[in-house]
Amino acid sequence: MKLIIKYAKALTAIWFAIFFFRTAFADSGDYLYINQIGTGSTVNIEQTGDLAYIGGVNSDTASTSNRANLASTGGAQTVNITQADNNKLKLNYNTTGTLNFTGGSYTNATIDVGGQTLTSPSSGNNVTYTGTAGASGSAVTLNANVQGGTGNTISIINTGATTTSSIFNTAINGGGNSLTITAPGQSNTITTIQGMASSMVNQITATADVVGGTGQWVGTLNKLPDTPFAAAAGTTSTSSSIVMGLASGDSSNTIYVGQANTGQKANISLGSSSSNNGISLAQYGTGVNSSVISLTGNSSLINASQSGTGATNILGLVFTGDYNKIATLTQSGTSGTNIFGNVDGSVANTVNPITLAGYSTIGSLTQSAGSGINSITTIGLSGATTTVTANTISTLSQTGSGAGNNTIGTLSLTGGSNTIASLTQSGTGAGNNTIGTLSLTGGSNTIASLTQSGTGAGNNTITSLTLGDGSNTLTGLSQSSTGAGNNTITSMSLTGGTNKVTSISQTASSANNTISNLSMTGGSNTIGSITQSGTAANSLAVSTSEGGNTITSISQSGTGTNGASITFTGASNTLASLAQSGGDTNSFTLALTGSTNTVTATQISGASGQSNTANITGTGSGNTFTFSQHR
Amino acid sequence: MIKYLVIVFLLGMTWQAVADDNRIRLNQSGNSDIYVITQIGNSNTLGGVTQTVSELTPTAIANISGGNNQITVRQGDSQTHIGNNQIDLAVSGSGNILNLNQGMDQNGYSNGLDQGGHHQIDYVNGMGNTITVIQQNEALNAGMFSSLQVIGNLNTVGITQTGVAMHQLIASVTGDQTTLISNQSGTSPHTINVTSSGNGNSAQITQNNNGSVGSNTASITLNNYGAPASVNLTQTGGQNYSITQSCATTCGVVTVKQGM
Repeated sequence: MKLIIKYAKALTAIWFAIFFFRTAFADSGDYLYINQIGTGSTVNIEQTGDLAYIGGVNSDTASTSNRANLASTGGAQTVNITQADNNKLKLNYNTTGTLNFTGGSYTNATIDVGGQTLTSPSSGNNVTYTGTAGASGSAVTLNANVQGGTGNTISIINTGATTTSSIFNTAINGGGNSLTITAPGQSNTITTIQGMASSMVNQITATADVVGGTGQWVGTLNKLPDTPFAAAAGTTSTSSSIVMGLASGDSSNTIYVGQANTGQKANISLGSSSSNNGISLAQYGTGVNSSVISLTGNSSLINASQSGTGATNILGLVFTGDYNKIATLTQSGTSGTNIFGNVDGSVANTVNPITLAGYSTIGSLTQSAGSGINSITTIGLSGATTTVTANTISTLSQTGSGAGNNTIGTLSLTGGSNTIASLTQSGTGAGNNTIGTLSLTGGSNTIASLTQSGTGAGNNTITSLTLGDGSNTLTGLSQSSTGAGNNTITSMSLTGGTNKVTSISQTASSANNTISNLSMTGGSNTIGSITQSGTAANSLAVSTSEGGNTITSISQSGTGTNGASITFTGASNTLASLAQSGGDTNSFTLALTGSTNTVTATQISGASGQSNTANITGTGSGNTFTFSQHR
Repeated sequence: MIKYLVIVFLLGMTWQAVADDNRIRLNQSGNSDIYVITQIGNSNTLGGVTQTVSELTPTAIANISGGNNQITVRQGDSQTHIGNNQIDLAVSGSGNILNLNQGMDQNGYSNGLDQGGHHQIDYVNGMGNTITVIQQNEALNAGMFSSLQVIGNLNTVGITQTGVAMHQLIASVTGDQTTLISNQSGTSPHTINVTSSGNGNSAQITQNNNGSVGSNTASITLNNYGAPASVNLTQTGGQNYSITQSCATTCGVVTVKQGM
């Protein structure tokens, strides 16, 4: 049975409202062909049988030209369409008003708002699709297209908790539109394509989730001019994936991504010349959370959070533009593994580090785990030139309470005027705090605070720390262990001259404090204080290759062995105070080649039978040596 | 030098290994350097970079080369008073100023209870150096020993050994216009052996034994190769002395006063 309703009336003739009301009850296999052009009308359509179809006149195939057409040249229309399972809807909705569409299982709906076949794209519509899922495995396909219209609001909500493998495709080509997609269920796909650049802001919210569901997928986004986008996949389901990309030239977009439960994955990339975008990533699943954020443009703002009980969090960031800013990066889990600088979920993968080009900022980077592992493979902030590039890491924190390790493989800031305001590694368990390579080169770099601390058996280790090219500042470096862990700085070098280290502190209760090699080249470097305290062995070695360096204070204290080796090469170096106290053996070795150097050392041994030893060798004139030994 | 080596060797034979407390090993060259070394405790040592606890050889002596250096060493302990400090120092150069004190000095570094046992071996080669050695103790324990070899002209040497222990000084001067002043005082017998070779050297020696046992002994040999040398020896307490003078031209004035 076929039912054709056609209603037309010229707007110039009628100023009052004309209502059109027709309700059709159709059986299985019913077809509704509708073409309505009017003003202020209401259409209610309900198809209760299976295999029903709403489309254009005399057609049962899908194409733009033969879709059901609801259009208005005057006032708003309200259209309510309800279909049962296995139905099809092909509809051009080119009017002002509200379209409410409720589909069943296996519904295949295509709704064009402001369709391309119409000469006057509509605007100000509200389109609501509500999917009522049928039995498990009933897939829904919905294509919602906004072409050229403005100010439309589209809400797509698939309420069926057991709906699976549904596809929601939206294409928006206009400005000031709002799209909301909610797709609970398993293995749903949400694809949004943002089209024409517009000065008006589109807003897209996409959510794919179901309790106990799996395989959610949200993406792909292309060309998001001035569009806030929020995507959430797998809030309560598993193995969800979000893939989004912005093409070149887009700017001022905002992307929000939220994922929970287990097995979440997000890949977000911004095009080469897109800029001023904002990305907020929240993954708080209990399994493996993995994300990659790639920015090749400038001046974007990133907030990323990965957390969850027992979760393994993996985040890769690659920024090649300038002025990008990471406001917050947070990874936390009670027993999982947190990894920055890894991209595909493989712990062994180290090829894609966190890299930021010039003028970049990391506001806060935090990793916390219980018995898990916190790992930063590589963080590199660099500029294209050696001129001032002003990269900043405000806070970088790794914390753990269990057996897991906190690790930073390589952290490098190059290009000059880079800043790390605070870098902290702390743990209460047996895990180690380790920084492999930390380097600031290019001049005028600053580390305001660098802290490694532990209360368990873990060791605090900095293998290599470099302040290069001069005029760098390290305000505070602290290693502390109240357990069995050792504090170790294997190599620390100040090159280029006029570097300044305010304080280096190593504190251990039962383990060793070691600075194997602290070298200063380039001259005129300053170290305010070096402090080592503990009951085991304290040892340090400091050397200069040019003159004019100053060490205000070196202090070694404890009941174990204190050993200090100072090598001054060059003129006018100063060790204002070296104090060794309490050790069963205090030893000091000074090798000096140069003139007008000043060395003052005091050794105070502990109980009877303990000893102080000072060895002084060298060549130079105008030097001042003051040694005091006490028992 | 040969005598110096012999002295060192003999001392090495008799010097007992001491407790391992404060130890400075020094080998530095340069001009106008300032050294201020303070060792507070007992059995402190200032020696060479190869020195071990029981070793006492020339190669193990602290070595400073260069001119116009100021070298100040203070050894002692105002708490345990055990003493037994050791200085083994060689200085090569001119215009150096050495102040080498053991058991501290009169300026407040000791409370007067030092038990002595200090050893000091100094070797100075150069012109115009000023060497001041002070060894003092106030509590009877072990004697104190100082050996000094000076080579060069226009050097000034002052050695003061005070306290209740027996004091021994062996001094050798080779050069011209060098003045040596030695003062040994206390309640035990003292021994001094001075050999001076050169022109215009002088020795002013005072030995004062206020105790009731023993006699002071002074052995002075002056080898005058040109200008006359002079000796002024004052002894109180038990007195023995021997002055031998060989003169190429006119001998100098020898003055001996005893029992004053």
